[in-house]
Amino acid sequence: MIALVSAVMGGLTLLGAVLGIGPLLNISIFPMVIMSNVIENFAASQVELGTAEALRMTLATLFLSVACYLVVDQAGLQSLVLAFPEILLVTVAFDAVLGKWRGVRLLEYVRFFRAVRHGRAETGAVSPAEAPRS
Amino acid sequence: MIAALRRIRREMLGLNRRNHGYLFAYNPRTGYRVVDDKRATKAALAAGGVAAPALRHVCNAQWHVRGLATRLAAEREFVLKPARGAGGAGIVVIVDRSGERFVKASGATVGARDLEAHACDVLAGAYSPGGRSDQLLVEELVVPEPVLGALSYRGVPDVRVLVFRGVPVLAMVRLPTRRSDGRANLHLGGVGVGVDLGSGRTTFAVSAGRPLSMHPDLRRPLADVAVPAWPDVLALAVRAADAVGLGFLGVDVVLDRRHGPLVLELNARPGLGIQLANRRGLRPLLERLAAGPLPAGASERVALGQGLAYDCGSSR
Repeated sequence: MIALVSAVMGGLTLLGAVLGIGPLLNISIFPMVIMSNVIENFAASQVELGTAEALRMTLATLFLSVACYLVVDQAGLQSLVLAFPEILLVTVAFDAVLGKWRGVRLLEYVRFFRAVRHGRAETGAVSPAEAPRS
Repeated sequence: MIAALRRIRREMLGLNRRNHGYLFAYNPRTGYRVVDDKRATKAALAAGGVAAPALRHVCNAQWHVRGLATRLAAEREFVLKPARGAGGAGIVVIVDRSGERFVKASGATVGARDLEAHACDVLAGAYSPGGRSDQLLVEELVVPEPVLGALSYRGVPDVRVLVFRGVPVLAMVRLPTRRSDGRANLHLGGVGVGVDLGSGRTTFAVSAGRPLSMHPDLRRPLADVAVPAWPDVLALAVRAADAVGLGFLGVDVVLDRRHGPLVLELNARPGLGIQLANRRGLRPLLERLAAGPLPAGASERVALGQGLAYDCGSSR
């Protein structure tokens, strides 16, 4: 699919150049390739995981890309990175620190919360597990 | 609320700590190779004298598939398994024959041709991680004993025992449900029921992270059920851990009606839901065992694990 899209894009560019059709040259290739990539992944997960899961994943991707766009679109950030490109290396350091983190993840707090809550609530109840202790 | 969050931070084992603190530290790379390939697991277990479902046939090349079908024609019940399959994918359970056709656990029938097609899929790597070519194992069918069998919806329940440095630490019974389609994996919708290591009786049940008291399909109570042959289950789990030489692993034990406890498979990256089913965190238990020498004998280590459950009992 991506190969097909790339071939069509290349063909269109060539056609535009040869025939001198300006607008054909202006179609930018990256959005098309990325979109075809998204579509391909969507189709693959639809077959493997079902339509609902595929939709959920696509919406999550969309949400993340919009969030990323809003961050990257800040003029201040853009000039900062242009002025000091080595800032990009900070993300590497951040990744390394994150990889070392051994604490409980935020989602794990949610996951384990009920277990801890219920475990406490039943301290007074006679649990079968407590019997052999005495 | 704050106290609960603090307890989670102190006692619950999260994925990051499991990976860094335990998997990397206690599981050698060679151990993974054994555990991730069910055929190698079987060989290691047999070498260690650990009971497991018998291996009937192995099919490791496409040109053997035809021969396999002829050999299967002589069998009444069996299980087809990809050697590298994970999470129960690609497993076909045949429980009976109906003329020329094979009856699956769900009641549907398949022909010899369907099984051949499935075998080809497995060999081509349809169920192995990364699509690498795989082998197909034909195993003896496990018939669950009645106590846990009565709590399972069409499938084989098992007991997951978490073993750390050869000491059983936590255990839970995993029950198949309608949603989990006969498989016992928690993330597929199976029910996990914590088991008290000392008494072998079930404690709390959990499904999809929620506590529950009844089996969702069978409406039978899940708490305070005595797991049959409990000391044997723990001893078997410990010996299985010794046989593959992993320091932190989940051992899945099935209770067969005829053969008693058998090791079904091993998991070198055991899930953390076992903490939910037991309503206690792993960290106090693991940290107690991480330091210092441990007894060499398997039965002493079983006793140590059983005692530990009460020593660290403050978490209840």
